[in-house]
Amino acid sequence: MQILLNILLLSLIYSVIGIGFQIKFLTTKFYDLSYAALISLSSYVFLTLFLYLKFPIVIAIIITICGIAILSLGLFAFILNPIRLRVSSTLMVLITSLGCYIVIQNIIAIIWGNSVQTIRFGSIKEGYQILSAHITFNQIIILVSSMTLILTYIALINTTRLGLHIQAIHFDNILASIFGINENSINFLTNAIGGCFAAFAGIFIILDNDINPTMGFSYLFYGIIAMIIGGIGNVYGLIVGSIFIATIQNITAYYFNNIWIEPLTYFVLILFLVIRPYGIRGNKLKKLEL
Amino acid sequence: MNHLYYLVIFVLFYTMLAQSLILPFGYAGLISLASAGFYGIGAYSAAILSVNFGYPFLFVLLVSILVSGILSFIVAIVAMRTADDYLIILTIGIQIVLFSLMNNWVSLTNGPYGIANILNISFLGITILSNFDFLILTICLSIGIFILIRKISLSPYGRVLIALSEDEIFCKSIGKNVFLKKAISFSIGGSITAIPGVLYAYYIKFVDPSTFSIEESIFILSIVIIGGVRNLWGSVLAATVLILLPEALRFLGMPSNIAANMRQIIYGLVLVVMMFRFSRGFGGVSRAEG
Repeated sequence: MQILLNILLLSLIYSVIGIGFQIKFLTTKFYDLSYAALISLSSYVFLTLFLYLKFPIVIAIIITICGIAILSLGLFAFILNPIRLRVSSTLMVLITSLGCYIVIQNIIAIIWGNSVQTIRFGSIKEGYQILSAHITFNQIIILVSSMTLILTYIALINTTRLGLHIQAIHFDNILASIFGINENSINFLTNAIGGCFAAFAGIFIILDNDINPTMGFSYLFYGIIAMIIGGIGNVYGLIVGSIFIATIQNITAYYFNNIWIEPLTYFVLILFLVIRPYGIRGNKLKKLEL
Repeated sequence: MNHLYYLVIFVLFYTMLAQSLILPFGYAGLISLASAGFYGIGAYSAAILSVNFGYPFLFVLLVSILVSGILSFIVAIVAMRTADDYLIILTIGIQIVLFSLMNNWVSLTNGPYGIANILNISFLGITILSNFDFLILTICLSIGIFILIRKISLSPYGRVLIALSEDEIFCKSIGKNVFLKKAISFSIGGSITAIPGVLYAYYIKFVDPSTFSIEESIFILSIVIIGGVRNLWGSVLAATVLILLPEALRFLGMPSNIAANMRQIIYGLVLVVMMFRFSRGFGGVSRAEG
């Protein structure tokens, strides 16, 4: 029972990360790896506000989310978008975002140090017991709010006008512009929303786990792997992919050793890229469509 | 004086590492973030063969080059089923799997404790003991690699690589085996990467996984991008600047743990600035995708 709960929690966090990454990717069509630094940064900012500066939790959350969303927007507006418009290759934008990631990650390391940090204080509380599984109060917060976030995203993308515009730009940005959709403003909006999701993911991670400056990179990659397994642009596939990854990781940790979690996950990614580069649902990757 | 030798030797190591990417990245358009992994394969095979079996230097060098070359050929065959952004994601996956194997396969690599007591280099009756002798050997090998890459890029094979980076489909239509040519370029790159790996093991006399992390791969890639993807002298210059920068920071009195982060921040920034400045400049890559 406990392992099922762990799988659920982990897959929800991966889904949130994957969704935030995906909403940016759908319209801008490049892999923004600076997103990984946003996840780490959000954890640290929240930790500082809540634990050291003693802000009330709600205010700490709001400040973190606004801050990360603004940073995400700023990175896109001032660095990534100008380069994206200038080069023909999304690869170059990806490398630039990698540069941004390195800069932010090392700034985090200078400010907060390279060591592992945690939000736990005092004795560990037993938590509540449901069907022989222990669940802490923090985990309940994660469960409820991540599910709310995912449902909000599904509603946003499927029912609202903005969601339709995002999908239109994803399928054909030139045609979408002809029909009067302002691609630029949608791009900015999706980057702000993506930043919010990164901030939420960072807060969820710090609520339940220890953090270090580089952890955002692994979390982001698990999100990306879930997205690739699920087929890009498909939120249900992403959730299935997240559950798949979380299951593999928990089973590895339970039956073998948690040092093999990382290589095994990446091995699954490599397998998927090679055997089924179109994801489980069979949606083609953007580059291979040609 | 010894410190100066040390710096020059490391500049040469990184020059070789960067130049090993010139054929696959600059000419064939295969971007790889797994070079630190192959650097590690070189270093580890040298350490294992020399410490456990006591094989002589030349034999170790040859075997390391072969192992790395064959492995990278396999990786290339796997990797080329994907394209562009997915290739980067896949090579990051391979890098992390390789790193994880070095870190966790304790019976072979001694895990995070690393392998110590690597023997001195001796071949053809010469034993290399001093830093100066080692510098001479490194200079000879780097000149060899420099000339080799130049010869290959000017050879008929190099011309085919240039042609396929301009127009891959046209290349196929005139009967060139594009797949094989690309895989071979990747494999040549991998074998060259093993040479500084072997030298590193013999020079430091100790290998541990922390040297071969993903950050190292990003660093190597930045050297190539900053130096210009087809520019052999450019990578010499870029490696010199990027290795000597942290030394300058140390002279300014910065504590060494912050200097390490500052080094990364600086090369992240340089990477981003280079993208702004020369985003149209790297002929091969941007055109290959366009």
